[in-house]
Amino acid sequence: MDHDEQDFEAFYRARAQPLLRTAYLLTGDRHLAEDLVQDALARTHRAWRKLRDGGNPEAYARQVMYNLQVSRWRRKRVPESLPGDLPERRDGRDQAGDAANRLALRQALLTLPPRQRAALVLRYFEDHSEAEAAELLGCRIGTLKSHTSRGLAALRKALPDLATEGMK
Amino acid sequence: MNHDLHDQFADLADEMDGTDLVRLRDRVDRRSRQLRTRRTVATSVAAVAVVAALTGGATLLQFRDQETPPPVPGTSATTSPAPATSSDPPTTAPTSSSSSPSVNPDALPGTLFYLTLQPGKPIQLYRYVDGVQHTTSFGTASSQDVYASPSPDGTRLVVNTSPNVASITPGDLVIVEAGGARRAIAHNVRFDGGNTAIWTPDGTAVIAGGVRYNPADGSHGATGANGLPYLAYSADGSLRAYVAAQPATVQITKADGSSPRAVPVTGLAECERAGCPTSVQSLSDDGRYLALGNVNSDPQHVYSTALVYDTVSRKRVELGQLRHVWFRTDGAVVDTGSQLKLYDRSWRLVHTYPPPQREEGATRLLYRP
Repeated sequence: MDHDEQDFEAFYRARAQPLLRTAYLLTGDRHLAEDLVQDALARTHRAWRKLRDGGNPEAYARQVMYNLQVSRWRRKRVPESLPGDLPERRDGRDQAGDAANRLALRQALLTLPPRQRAALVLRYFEDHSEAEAAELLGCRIGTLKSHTSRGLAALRKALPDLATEGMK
Repeated sequence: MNHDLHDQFADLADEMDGTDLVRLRDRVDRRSRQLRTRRTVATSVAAVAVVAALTGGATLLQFRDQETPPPVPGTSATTSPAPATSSDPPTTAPTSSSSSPSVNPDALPGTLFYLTLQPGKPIQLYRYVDGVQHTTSFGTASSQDVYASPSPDGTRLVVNTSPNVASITPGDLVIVEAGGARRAIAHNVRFDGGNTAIWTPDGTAVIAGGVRYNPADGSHGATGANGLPYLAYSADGSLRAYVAAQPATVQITKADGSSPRAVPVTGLAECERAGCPTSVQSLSDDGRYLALGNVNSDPQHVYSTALVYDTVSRKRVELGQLRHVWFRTDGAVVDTGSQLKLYDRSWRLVHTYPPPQREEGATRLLYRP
C-alpha cells in the first residue's frame, strides 16, 4: 500500500462513522446513508492526490455528500422512504417516548426539501456557521438563511414541542 | 421534548451505528475504480467531440460532474483499452458480425438483482450495478407474499400474493414502493403455472396471468394470449418468449405479440429422461437462443436455467455447469453458481467474475445488461 492509500485509509477509519451519521440525517435510511457515504468517499478517494496537498478531505467529502443528496432528489432516482420501524437502540435506554420522538423527528426531516434539511443539519447538527454552511451548499448566505428559516418553521409545525427557541 | 435540536439530531444519528466499516471500505474502493473507468470513457468521448468541433463538426458535447465540487477536480484519466473485437470467424454466431463485450476487470458490467422475501422480515432488494451494491428497503414481507419481481430501475416491486399459498389460491397483485408503501392494483390474480408477474423491459407495465396492467392505476388490457407462462423478454425488449404448449413448445414473438414462431424442443435428450425443459428464463435479442429451465411443477415457480437451446441448430449449447443464463446484446452471462462468466455472441469466454458476496437470505433473481 503506497502512502496515498495509507493516508486515505487513516482518513476513512477516522471519519467514516461521522459521515454516516450525517448521511443518515440527510437520507433517513441507513442503506441510503451507506450508499451516499460510499459515493462521497469514492469521489474523495479519486481526488486524494490533490486533496493531500493543502486540501481538506473531510470538507470535500461532506460537500460531495450534500451535493449528491440534493441532485439525487432532483433526479428522483432515489425515492425517499419512511420505514415504520426504528432500529433498536443498543445503549439500554430505548424508552418508548424517545423512540417516538426520534421517529417523529425523522419523519418531519424527510418532509423537508433536501436543501432545507441539509441547511438544518449543517447548522444545528454539525454546528457550522452560516458562512460555512452556505459555502458547503454552494449558495449565498441569504439563501442559506432562507432555507434554515423555512426548515425550522416546518419542523416547528410538525413538532410543536420542538425546542428551537432562539433559532432563526 | 426537552433537548435542544442538536441533541435531538445527535440522538437520531445514533441510530446509524452497526455499519460494517470493512465492507463499506471495500464498496468505496470498487466505486472509486468504477468512477475512474467512467472518467476515462468520458475523457475519450470528450476528446472526440473536441476534434469534431475543431474540424467543423456540429455536435457540442459537454461533460460535467455536478456532484463533485469544482475546486478539487479528480485525478487525471488513464488510457483504457478499446473493447476487444473478435477476429476469428464465428462458428455459431447468429449474425455475420461479432463483437466482444467490453471487459471490466473489476466487476461484471450490468446489474444483478438479489431479493429477500421472507414472511415477517424486511424485504430488501440488493442491486449490484457494475459491482457496486445498492440496497433498497420495501418494508416487511407479509405472510401472503408469494413472489416478487423488481422493476427495471429497482424502485418498485410487483408482488403476487395469495390468501392460501398451499392451495395456490389467486390473490392480490400488489405494487410495493421503496419504503414499503403498498397498493393493490388487481385482485384474484393467478400465479401458478409460471404466470407470476413480471415487468416489461421499459418498466411501464406489469404482465401477470396473461393480462397487462398499468402499475400506476391497475388499468389493464389483454395481451392476446390465454396466459403467458414463463414470459421472458429479450434484453433489448424487442422479442418475447413463453411456454406456448406443454410439454415442449416455446412461442417466440415480437414484443407486441406479432410474428409468432413456435419452437418445439422435443428433440432434446432431456425430454427422454426427466421431461423437456420448457420454462423460459431468457432469450437472445435475435431470438436464436433460449435459456430454458426445467419443466414447471405447480406451485413452485422455476427460476433457474437448465440449458441454452439453439433454435437454429435445434441443439443445446454446451456450456458446462450452469444455474442461470441471461443474454446481452453483445453476448451472454452464465452463472455457474460459483462464477459469473461473460461470453461474446459466438460463445467465446470473455471474462470470469466472482459473484458478489450475497446478503443472508437473498436470492439471485435476475441480471440486466
